[in-house]
Amino acid sequence: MNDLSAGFMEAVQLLIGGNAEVWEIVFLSLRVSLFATAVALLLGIPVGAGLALARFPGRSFAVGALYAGMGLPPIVAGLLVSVLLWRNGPFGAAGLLYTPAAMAIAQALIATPIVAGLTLASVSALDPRYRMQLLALGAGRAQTVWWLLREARFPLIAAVVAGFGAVISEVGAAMMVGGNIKGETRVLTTATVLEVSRGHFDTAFALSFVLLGLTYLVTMSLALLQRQPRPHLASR
Amino acid sequence: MTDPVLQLDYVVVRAGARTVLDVASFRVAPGEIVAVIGPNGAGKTTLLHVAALLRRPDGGAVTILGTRATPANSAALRRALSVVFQDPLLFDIGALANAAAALRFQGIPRTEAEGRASAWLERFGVGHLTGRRARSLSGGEASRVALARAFAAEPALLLLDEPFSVLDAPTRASLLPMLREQLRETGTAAVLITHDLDEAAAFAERLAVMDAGKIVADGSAPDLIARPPSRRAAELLGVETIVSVEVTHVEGDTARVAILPTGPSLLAANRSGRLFAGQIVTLTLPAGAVRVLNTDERCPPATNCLPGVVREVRPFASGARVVVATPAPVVALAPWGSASAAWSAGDRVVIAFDFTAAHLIAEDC
Repeated sequence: MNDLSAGFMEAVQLLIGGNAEVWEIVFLSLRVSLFATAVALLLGIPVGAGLALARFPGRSFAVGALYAGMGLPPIVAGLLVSVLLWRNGPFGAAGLLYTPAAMAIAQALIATPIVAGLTLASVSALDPRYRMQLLALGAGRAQTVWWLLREARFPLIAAVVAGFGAVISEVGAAMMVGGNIKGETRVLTTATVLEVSRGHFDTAFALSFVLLGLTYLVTMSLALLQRQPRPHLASR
Repeated sequence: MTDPVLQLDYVVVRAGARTVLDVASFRVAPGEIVAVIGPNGAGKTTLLHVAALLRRPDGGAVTILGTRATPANSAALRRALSVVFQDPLLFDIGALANAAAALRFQGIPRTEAEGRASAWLERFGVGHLTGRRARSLSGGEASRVALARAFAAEPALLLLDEPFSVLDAPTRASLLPMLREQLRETGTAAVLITHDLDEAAAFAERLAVMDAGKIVADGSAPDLIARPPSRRAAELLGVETIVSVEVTHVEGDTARVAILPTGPSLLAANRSGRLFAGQIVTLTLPAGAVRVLNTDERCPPATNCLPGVVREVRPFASGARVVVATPAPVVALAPWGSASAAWSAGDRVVIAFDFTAAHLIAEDC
């Protein structure tokens, strides 16, 4: 309990006091996670919408694989990216291992199936007659997909929240492909792990509070976008 | 000669082993207003989906404005059509953006599209709702926006799938004439799918009656109700007096028939010219052509008069239906306030109808 309250106080002091190292960790965490989420949205939304709207042989298998991917353990994602970026690996020449770029790739790998799966669920949950109405209005294929995604925008925001939540809070992949290098690849989760290993529970709690606050701010901002006007129930 | 806006030829749609639509020919001329009626499962909505190029038939051809639809040109041909479904299916955006949707899909710039859509919202009496979100509209308002959206695209053919069935009667009664007026003003052809025979007769100049995937009758409402082409069509058109009779004598354009098994003799019109003595046929009689008289009233000339007993008086909004037991039950339509509407069960009466109102169908022999 003492650690908890001391951690909270230290978190306030670290942020208000302008601790450069902490702010650097916060900004790197945000930068990597937001970039990974953006990549996940770019890849996941088209894949999810495509699986929801298209019918092709093997679709059931693809949907099953996607849902399995939503539960991809971060450590496995880290391992895959490590193998690919390892000095002798297929992309070793790029020299990305132990850089923020490698962390973003691993996190995008974790978030993409989550975003795609939730997009698939959101678009599938739309009344199928909307698609028919769009076709009847003369919408082309791209226009149909865009209007359906717009119609599903509120559940899609939940997909963004879930994707961001998964990457900002993961530690295994960030540690494995980033290496937790001070000033270079140290993010809030890996820094917390380090402080716990040193027995600095108050600092670990402080970093955890910062992480929680950050997650709350981002997800709350997205949740505000999700607010819908109340239907005019009386005249329905 | 102008091409029909819609032409279906030998169109077949199957669902597994079952044939859900089998239409040899269905044409809609430019500016023509057609209602398609029929019971649930008759294939009305499937017909509409095929006509709207939303469902590809398993056989036959769909032709829009003289161009036969193919998978390659369906998207382009769809732009000559507008569809209004049972639910307004407005998107979760503003009313104006909804009304402008089809124009935006055609690549028309936003300002122009919204200007045109706004004019249509005005014409349907919802111009003041342009800034409202679709989800905040009442059912009647949403239906008007859906109609404005359909008209804004300036289609050659408007396809309406029971668009008012979810609305209350007063809203429906106000929207139908408004819709008809806009169709007339713009010269837009329309196909209305409905269960409601009264709505169909009030809205359209032509009725197509569907049953088990086929069009079993096609013509004007008064003609079809007075002279249904088949017993089943008569049932679907709400003709309540349908009786099996035997032709006993044929002379020119009249035929004398006897209600089976041992009923009285009646005079009927011989329109087909193919009747012969001994033939078993179906006699149909529209309720509006039957009068209910006192037993002491004189039977007018060229009129069939049958004594009977009032079995029941069924009240409807438009009037009473008086069911009279003669050797076969005969139904008369009595407007409220008329003498016939004052009868009650058990009264002895005479039913009277002109022989030309008695229509004979020879399909059953």
